[in-house]
Amino acid sequence: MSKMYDLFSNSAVENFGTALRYAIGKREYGGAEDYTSLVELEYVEKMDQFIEVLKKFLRRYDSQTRRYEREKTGKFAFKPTDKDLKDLIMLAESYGVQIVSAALIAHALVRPEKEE
Amino acid sequence: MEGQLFLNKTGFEMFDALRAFGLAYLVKNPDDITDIRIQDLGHLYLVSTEGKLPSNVNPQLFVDNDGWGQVFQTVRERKDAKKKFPRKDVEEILSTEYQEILKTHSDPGFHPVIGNVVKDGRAIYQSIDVSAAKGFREEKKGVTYHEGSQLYTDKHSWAIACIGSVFFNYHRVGSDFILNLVPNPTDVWLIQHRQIRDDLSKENICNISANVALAHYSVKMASVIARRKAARSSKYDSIIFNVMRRTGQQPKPGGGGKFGLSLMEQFLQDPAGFDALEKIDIIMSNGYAKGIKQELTFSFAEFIIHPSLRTFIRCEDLYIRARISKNVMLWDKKPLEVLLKNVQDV
Repeated sequence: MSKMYDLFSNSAVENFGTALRYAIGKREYGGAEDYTSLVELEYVEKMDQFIEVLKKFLRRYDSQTRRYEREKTGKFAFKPTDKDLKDLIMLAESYGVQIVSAALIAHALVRPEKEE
Repeated sequence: MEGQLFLNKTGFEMFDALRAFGLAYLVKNPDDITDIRIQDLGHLYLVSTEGKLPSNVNPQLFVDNDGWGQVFQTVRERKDAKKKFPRKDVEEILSTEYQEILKTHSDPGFHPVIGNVVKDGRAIYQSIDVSAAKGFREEKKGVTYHEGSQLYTDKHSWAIACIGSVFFNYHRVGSDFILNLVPNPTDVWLIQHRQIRDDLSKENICNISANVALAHYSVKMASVIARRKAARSSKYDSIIFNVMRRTGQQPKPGGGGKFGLSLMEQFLQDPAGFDALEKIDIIMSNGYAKGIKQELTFSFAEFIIHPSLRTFIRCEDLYIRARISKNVMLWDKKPLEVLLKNVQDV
């Protein structure tokens, strides 16, 4: 199997990738159309840039999930965990940031089971 | 096996493969249901027949067909020509010397004669092998114009290569190129191959560039083989391609080679591989309209040719942009996984 597939199947990448997919989703389906995070992630080359981009993404995603939960009372938005974050950083350190970013973005290409 | 015919390779890859297909088609008895097998044994192609070989050449071979025009596209018919027009020549050679051709190819030691001067030889056209084109192999020095020398081969090898080209060469014309494609028969059965070829001839191959057409053809071919379960016993290792550049005059040689099909094989080994191929096919079929869809077509063609992380990232970036502008559908997870499994690490 390729490294790309290994990363794609990793649970941390999967959870962050799912969050990214929700973030770029259409507004009418509860998404935030957050293309900024996506573009920033595409152009990441170094570890410090990767961490900075993740930080900004999480900040934006957090406000999106809070808005979602406020508007749809009783529903909980999907959030990656602290462990996912730690694992993701470790993966970026061992595999390199470009391939991890590519694997994250690949999750954004996957059709969700139901449009959010 | 009833009979075996041997076609030693000359190094002109397309010429060799066309001879193999041409000879197999020549000895296919139209009244016999038994099939003919073509195998690539490295240094030669082996054509094996189970049934009885026809005693005469099938006249149906010479019925009008688009393929004839394609083989002889670089030849201008002149009223004052001293030689016969090549199509008539093929017909005459095959009709009168059929038994001799069979006899020659029953000998494993027979090698086609190729050279600048061949007694009673015939020219190898660009449409049969682009590397035989004039000026393709020779260095030009100085200011004196010299268009290069023509390569010739013996008439028997030439005639069967012409038949191979008429019936088995896939021909695609773009705005500035002419592409000829022949799948290399690693181990194929003639009837199955013809079915695959017929299916492919009905498909629309995107011709916005020679690379796109080659990549799209390989995807379509893998899809056709996957759809026709019986065809899976036919094995191809590569597609032999020749590119000619269109000019105001005759077409000029533009290069050629072998395009490996290992990526397509990997796709077909996966249960979701067929869906992945269908998805790529849709992307490539939409390449005619300028804009993001055309860029996507180019990027996926590049990925098919070099499935590296760099080319994958390019596809991914463009796909996301196309998605944002609502031009494309998202991927199902399984087919995307097939794509990811085949991204080369280096």
